[in-house]
Amino acid sequence: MPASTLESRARRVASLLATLTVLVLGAALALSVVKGMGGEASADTGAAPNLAKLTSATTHTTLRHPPLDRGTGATDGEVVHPRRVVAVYATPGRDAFAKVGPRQFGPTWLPVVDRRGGWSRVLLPSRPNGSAGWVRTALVERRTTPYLIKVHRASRTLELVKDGATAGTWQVAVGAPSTPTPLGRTFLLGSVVDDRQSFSPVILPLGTHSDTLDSYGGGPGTVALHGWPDAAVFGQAVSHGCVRVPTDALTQLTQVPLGTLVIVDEQ
Amino acid sequence: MKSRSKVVLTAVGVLTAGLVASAPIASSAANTKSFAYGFSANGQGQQPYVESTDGQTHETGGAVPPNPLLSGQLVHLSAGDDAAAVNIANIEIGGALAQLPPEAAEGIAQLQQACTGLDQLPPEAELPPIFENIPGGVLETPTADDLAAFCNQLLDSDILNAAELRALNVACDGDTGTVEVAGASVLGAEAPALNGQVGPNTKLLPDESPLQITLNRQTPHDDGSFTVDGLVLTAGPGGEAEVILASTTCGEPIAVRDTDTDTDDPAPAPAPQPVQGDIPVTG
Repeated sequence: MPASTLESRARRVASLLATLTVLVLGAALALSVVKGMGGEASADTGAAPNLAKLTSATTHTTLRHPPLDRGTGATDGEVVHPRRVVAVYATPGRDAFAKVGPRQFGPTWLPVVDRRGGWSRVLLPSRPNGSAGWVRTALVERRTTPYLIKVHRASRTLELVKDGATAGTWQVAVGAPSTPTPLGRTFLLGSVVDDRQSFSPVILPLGTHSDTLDSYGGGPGTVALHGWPDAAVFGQAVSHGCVRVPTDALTQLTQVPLGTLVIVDEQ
Repeated sequence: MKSRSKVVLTAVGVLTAGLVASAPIASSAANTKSFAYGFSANGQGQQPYVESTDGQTHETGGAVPPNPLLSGQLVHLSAGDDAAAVNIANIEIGGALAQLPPEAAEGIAQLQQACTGLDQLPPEAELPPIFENIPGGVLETPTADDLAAFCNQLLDSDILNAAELRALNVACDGDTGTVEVAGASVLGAEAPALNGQVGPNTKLLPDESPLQITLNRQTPHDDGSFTVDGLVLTAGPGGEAEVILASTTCGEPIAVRDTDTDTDDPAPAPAPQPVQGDIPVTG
């Protein structure tokens, strides 16, 4: 190989390495400045979110400015279970604002309130009440529930609907005027046996919270369906937000799949 | 500026031709396939490579193929059900400077000399030309303290490579991904600003630069798959020359079809199994 060619190749390699050196030096300085200013490096808006930075949607958390569910009616009964921690978006694929994992108390099941090409809109268990967002349908397990639970505040009754027909109606205790059971659509979040209380053999927490109590008993003010030992409360507005139900109602409610829609109205 | 771009374009072209193009190509991936590879140039020679099409986790090891741009010990690749990961250790970018031709060593020496002279510059003085040649006017924004700190480390260190990373960990999981850098140093000087979790699509140089270094490049595809590239070097007006270090692609979950159609009828949900717990409710 001619000496001039060798020299040319050496110069090319040297030039390349010098270029890389300068580039990497510039890169390190640029990133230092970006971090020093407290700014964010550039990011495409269409990129997948960094899950580590998203708030987990649980009964214990409050989401910042989430989209809210405005619906009042029944759904087709679809419920979904995240197979892993998944991002929750304000619109399909855009503006991730939360994440939701496969387990809360037990497995996480969320009601589907809308669908759009590969995406499902689900209700979330966090504050504020009515929080809702979109998840990728491919990342969740899908099931259907034949049930719908209606709580009527004025008549202080709970109606269990199965396959579109009333399966049972009971007088129940709802929230007192100062601590009302919150209105709107929510869902059956869990089925919990808590040995540290004696008022109910099983507690069915919902995905909603007291509007008037920021916390209660060391918890986040989660509203639940549960039994009550004193039958005199049924038909009264006396609770701190929970719905106290008779034993027969509780027995049937424990058979209702998680994620089942619960509608609290003013009737 | 144009000459720099040409140099790198040429280098990438030579590199591409020299690599064995036997590994599968990313663009042909089915939407249920997840895969990972260590290194590629212009989409060719994705090596080492591992994939999963059956939902089972497959793993392999290997090394970054020899090339003039960088070296690294590939300690682990894995691909499974909608998940993939690459871990590369001891990455050296720019080759061993100690073995460079005199011209390159001279360039480094000029940088060191310029650093030495920084202390003697009055505050209002212009920077030496070698700093002004950095693309994109990067040095218009760093503070004097930033520059001084870097130069102090540069002058105190034994320079072996343009840049080193002790570890680069890249992973995708569904449509999310993470990139983590550890033990970063530039010209022998520690660069702690580069360490830790890197945000998605972090570009290290201004957009107008003819060359780009991108960390944690995330790309959702029309078929539902999702790619996370650890470190990407691109050159040319349209980014036509591209070198990728540590790439993972997650397909759709194997076990579940995307059955979001009006005609689909999911199975009935089971009655819940109560769990032991402590949940204070509003009573």
